[in-house]
Amino acid sequence: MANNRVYYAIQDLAINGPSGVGAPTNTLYDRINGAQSVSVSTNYNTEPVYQLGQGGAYSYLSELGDVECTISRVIDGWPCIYGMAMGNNTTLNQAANYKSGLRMTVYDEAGGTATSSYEMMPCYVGNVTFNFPVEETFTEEITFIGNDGKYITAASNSTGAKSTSRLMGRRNTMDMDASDFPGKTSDAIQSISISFDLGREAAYGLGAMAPYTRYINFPVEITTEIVSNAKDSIGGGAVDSSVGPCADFAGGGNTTIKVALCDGSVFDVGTNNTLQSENYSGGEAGGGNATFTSTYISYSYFKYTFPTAAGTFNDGEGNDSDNASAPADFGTNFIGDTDVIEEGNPS
Amino acid sequence: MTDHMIGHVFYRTLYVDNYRIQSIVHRILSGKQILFFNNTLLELVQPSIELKIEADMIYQQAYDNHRFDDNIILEDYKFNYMVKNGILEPGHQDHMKALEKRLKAQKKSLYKEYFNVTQRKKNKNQIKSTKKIIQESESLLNLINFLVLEHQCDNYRNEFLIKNTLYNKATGKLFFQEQNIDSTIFNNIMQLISQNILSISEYKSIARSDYWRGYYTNNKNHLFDVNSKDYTDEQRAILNISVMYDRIYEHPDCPGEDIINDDDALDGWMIEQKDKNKEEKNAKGVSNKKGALAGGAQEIFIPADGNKETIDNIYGMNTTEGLSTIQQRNQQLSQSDGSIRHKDLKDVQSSLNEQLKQLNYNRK
Repeated sequence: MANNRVYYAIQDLAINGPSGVGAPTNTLYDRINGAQSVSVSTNYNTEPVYQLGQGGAYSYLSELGDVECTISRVIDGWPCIYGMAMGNNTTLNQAANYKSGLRMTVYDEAGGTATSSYEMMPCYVGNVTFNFPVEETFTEEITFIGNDGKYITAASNSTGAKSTSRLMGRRNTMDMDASDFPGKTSDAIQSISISFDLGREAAYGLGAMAPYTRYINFPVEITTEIVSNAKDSIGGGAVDSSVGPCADFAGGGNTTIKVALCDGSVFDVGTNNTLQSENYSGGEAGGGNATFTSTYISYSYFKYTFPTAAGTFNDGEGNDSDNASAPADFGTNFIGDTDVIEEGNPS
Repeated sequence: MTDHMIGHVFYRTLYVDNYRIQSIVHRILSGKQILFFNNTLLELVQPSIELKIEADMIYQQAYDNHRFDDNIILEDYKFNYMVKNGILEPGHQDHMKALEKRLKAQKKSLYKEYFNVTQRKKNKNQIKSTKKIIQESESLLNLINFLVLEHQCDNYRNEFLIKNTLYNKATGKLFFQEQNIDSTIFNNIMQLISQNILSISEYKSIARSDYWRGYYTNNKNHLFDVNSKDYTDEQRAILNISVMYDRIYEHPDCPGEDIINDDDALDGWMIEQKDKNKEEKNAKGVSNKKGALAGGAQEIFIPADGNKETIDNIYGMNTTEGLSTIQQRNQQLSQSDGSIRHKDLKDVQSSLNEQLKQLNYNRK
């Protein structure tokens, strides 16, 4: 499809999910706060069917559209979109068939009033990236996969409160005591990113055009990249090259990676991460720090936890009306509008 | 009328135009205005910065003294006052904005269709008609300026400046020091001065003229024998416009001479360039954003927080085709039973048809 891109101004973005195994039947949507932008890409695969003796197409074999909706959002103390779609404290295996619905309330381009919405339902979490950089705000980027999108006249009826001002997740909001990853004792960690692609193959059945599910293509490779200034090599020595013939060879695969933030949220990549590569770069004659980039991989285990005590995110079983209440705060070590900056790890 | 007479009239008109251009250029270069009033030669000179500061103080003093007077309104309140008293419709400002937008679109069309003589004439007539309506609307807006405090203060300031910069050329003394200030005389002189005020179109015509360019190209940076802070309004304006023409001539997409000589068509060209730049900048700005926007997505949704300007800016990222797609989709949605699937949108259908055509074409 030709890429004639259109830009819409939206009033809000809301999610209806997760729904468990069945299609989402909830009519209530939870507002996604902190969204930066949403992009939607739709591809329709149509193939002509020809017959002998006819120049033009005899018919067309059309498939449903492939819709990809990517949302980029700052991590700001509200539940992550990932958790809103895949549930709180659930593993990939448990949430494999969870579906959601997305809805964006669109402003009219002439009058500036919200008059219509774009809706994508059902949709599945496809691609996930969490970034925790030292310079900017922490972000998540989630791609939802679906088969259908539509425009509707009714405005979104999201129930969540709109957050007009929030303190953002930044470097000092990483809870180093509760976190666990290689090099966490170093004070030179520059960034951590966790990313994985769930594959999401469509499973079709006779009697319906739409897939009855989009299953996760296990095993899911989860990549964690940790960048550190060359002051400390964070991954070196994982493989002991001095191990002799017939001796036990500890080839890695036993590294724990868990990123915890001061609001109580935890991004758990499990205990079976293996160092895949470590690269040294930078430190050119012209200036700039030398950095080590350590890439770890693990398979099929990821769990996002958000504190239910805050009341913002309940049990991943639907859309709770109390989702509007305030989320857990990042605490006193947060660099916010009061500019209270405390050095070191938050306690 | 004989051919000779026609030729004579034509020659005379051209001669007068050239003469007028030359005399205006001389006036601009000298930085003075020579006025002939009641058999007296008067010279209006550029006020010094010190005099301008004094004039500003007079403005401020008048503003402070009269701001609470009865029967005086402030500029900010003028529009509401006029609406309240039935002089203007509540939608007057929106109407003005729409007219300005229409004029821009018409100028753009004039530029784009300039090669088509019939279309050019049609566009020119439309522009003329829109300009007339805009002028009438603006006149209506200025109808009660005599009641507006800021305008009255402006008058006090201008009066002060004229009184202190208008000299009797014969005696070398300030004209209004030699005789009592009579409001009729003052108004007549003000009228004479206002007759010399140049329109943008006249400035452009002079800036393009060979006579002016002869001076300008010889020494662009030190054309006037004064410091730049002491330039007259006319000197500043003609320099700015001349620089504008320089930039147009240097532009890689410089239009033809006929477009450059047609103010409206040239405006159209500039609007077109501005729109293009805006689109490019927006596209660059958007592609600089991380993640979601970087790919080849067809629809981008950006949170706007209800601010009209932000909403306008986001919709401003669209190309003309993009905006037209949005309008078409909205129209289609309003005619639907409340929802319309993406694949049923007219633009999507049309794109799919194109794809199929291409597939068929490739097979042949």
